[in-house]
Amino acid sequence: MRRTKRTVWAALIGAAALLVTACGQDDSGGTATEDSEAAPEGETAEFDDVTIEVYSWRPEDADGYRDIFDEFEAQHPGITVKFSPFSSTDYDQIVQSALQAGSGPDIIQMRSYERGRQISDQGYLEPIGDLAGLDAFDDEYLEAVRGSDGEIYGVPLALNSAVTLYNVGVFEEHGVEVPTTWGELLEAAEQFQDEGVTPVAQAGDAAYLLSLTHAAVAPGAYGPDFIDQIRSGATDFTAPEFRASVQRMVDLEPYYPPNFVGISDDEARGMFAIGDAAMYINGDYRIAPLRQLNPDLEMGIIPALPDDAGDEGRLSTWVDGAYAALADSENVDAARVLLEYMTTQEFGQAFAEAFTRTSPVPGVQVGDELIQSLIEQNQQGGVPTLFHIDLAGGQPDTKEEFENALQGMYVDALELDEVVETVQRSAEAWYEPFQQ
Amino acid sequence: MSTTSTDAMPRWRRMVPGRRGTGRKSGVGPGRLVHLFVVPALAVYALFVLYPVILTLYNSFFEFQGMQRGEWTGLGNFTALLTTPPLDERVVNALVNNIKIFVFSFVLQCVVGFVVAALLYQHRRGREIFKAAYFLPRLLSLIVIGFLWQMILSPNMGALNQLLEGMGLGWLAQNWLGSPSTALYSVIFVEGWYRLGFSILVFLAAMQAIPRQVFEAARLDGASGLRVLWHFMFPLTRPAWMILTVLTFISSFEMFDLVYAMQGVTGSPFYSSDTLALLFYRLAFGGEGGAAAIGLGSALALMLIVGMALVSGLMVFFFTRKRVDL
Repeated sequence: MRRTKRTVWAALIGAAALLVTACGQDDSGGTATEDSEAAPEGETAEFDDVTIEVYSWRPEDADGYRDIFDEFEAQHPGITVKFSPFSSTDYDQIVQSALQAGSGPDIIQMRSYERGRQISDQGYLEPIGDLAGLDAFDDEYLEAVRGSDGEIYGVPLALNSAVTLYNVGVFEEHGVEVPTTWGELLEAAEQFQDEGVTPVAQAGDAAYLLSLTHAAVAPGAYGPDFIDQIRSGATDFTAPEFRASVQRMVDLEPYYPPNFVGISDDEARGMFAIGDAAMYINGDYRIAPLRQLNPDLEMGIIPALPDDAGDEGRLSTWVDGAYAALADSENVDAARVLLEYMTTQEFGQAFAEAFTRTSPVPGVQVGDELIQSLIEQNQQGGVPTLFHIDLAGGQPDTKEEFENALQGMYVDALELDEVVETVQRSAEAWYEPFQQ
Repeated sequence: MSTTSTDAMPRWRRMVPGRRGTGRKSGVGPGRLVHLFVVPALAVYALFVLYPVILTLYNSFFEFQGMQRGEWTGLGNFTALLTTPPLDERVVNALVNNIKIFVFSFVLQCVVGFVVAALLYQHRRGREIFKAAYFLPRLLSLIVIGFLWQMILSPNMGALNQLLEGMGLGWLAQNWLGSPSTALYSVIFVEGWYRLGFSILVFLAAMQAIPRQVFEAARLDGASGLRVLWHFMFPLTRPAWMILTVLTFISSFEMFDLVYAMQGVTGSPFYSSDTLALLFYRLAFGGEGGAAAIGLGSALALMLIVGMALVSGLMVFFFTRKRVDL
């Protein structure tokens, strides 16, 4: 009797061991983690009380994400998402320290382009190129999350556009038509100046604001072909197209507030929100704060305007962040399920509506007219933001050199040609297309 | 009756080493064990001061990929900092700015501090109120002060320019923080305003330690106020001058938080208020979105530490080679 019991127990243990071993083998022969034992059942894997921690640099988005993740949790029983936001300025150090200490979360909000690539190149991130839904994304957006090895490591989260916002009320009050060419924009600015309204609420105390302004007006001067030529190394920054784009910054200077290099973006934004200024150039992510300042503010968007009537205006766009899974996470399978959810139109829609941002997920439509017009303009004529995407590298990085040189130009420390020369010299030192 | 006899002392005093006629008598054990009390403090010092300094020294000889240490480069990072454009220009520019900060801060904090302290020493009326008023800014964080002064010095809506306009001195109004000719000096002024109270307190304490008879004798001999200030007060407060000069030098060369709060991470406009500490931050942490270069940042930090230690040592040597005793 005792012997029979032993045999039964041995058989049960053996069977269990075989079962565990069989379940533990994934397609590539690897071993799945204990916590996130994936079992195929329809399209969704089942998980047993798995908590995924997500790091973010957006504490202000915590409530919005709670609603989105509640919906995800309802669709994926067994997975709980813990959103852990940190101050944006400390975030990179916190993530790097956590990665090095091996105490990271399961998913991180990763910086796009070069700064994200630094992390993926160190082997901390899980390649997710095979994730369903990613193939629908625009290739240009996927470049933001591609490592040096060509693998995809993140799901692009939001699009930023550099835009010229105009105050509809101020334009109507002064009978100024919304410009469609660069010349018309300067004429409109002149008209506002004559009538005692600040044409453009521009701040310049922080140099990065100036490269943003350049991004908002430059594509009209150089167009998408110039970007392709730069990327292929066929031309460089001494080309007349680039000089023309910097010339636009010179053209705008008379229409900025007096002493604009000494004023902060908060002050400039305030001027625009209360109607003291007709236009305000910045990222589209300033739309929500502007509405907080003045809920009645009616705004419109002017893209980078062409020189000639008949040509199209273009929006300068770049990917602002992504979500990526950590390769050594114990819950990597569950993390992949959440990342896959982030590629869906449902997530893109919820994200766009919760945060008044533009989602890179194709087909997202929002009720907000202004944001919807941004989405449409992006679809019609979006161009990559050259400095934010390609030239945020080198030491000191070329984007930083450029924006500080613009500031130097505005305080009469540099001439326009010296700005061009600064950019060319900085890019020559490291930018790959210029190394050939 | 004698209260200084060994027998009359409590036991704990007799155990303190180095106290004449006590440690030796109390035996070896307790006297030496007392040194163990310093171990926790030493451990904290080693962990939070020595270890980062040694790590910085070590890192400065390596290349970095993000935060991962790469290959040994020898003096490569130091050479890159001093010879590669535009880094070399940035280093020289920041160094010159730091020197300017030290020179003008010395005038504001030490010279003006000394004069104000002498005035407070001579005029007792309202002394405590003035002492408190001058010291009050020290109670606030430098970041808060930077933010407040940024608003005060704002060119179009700031209180200072509005005040000047209101007083009919509109021609004096400036773009204080937005012009390369005034930005650095505005920051130095705010720094001086913040630290002046401390200098005054140190000088005042040094002056109050001088026996009054010295001044009375000088006056009886017919010395004027200025002569008393120059020939008695100045040399007899030499230790205070030494402490404050070294502290001003150190605070000038590690100036970061105030200039960061008022002028941003690049020391705007166009690096006119850039400092070595800001440059270090940009290199080591990537500044405004750039890539971090920990090797270069560590090399700069090391140069800064060594330079500051050398100059501080020279200052102490200069001040201590000639003693003035009463």
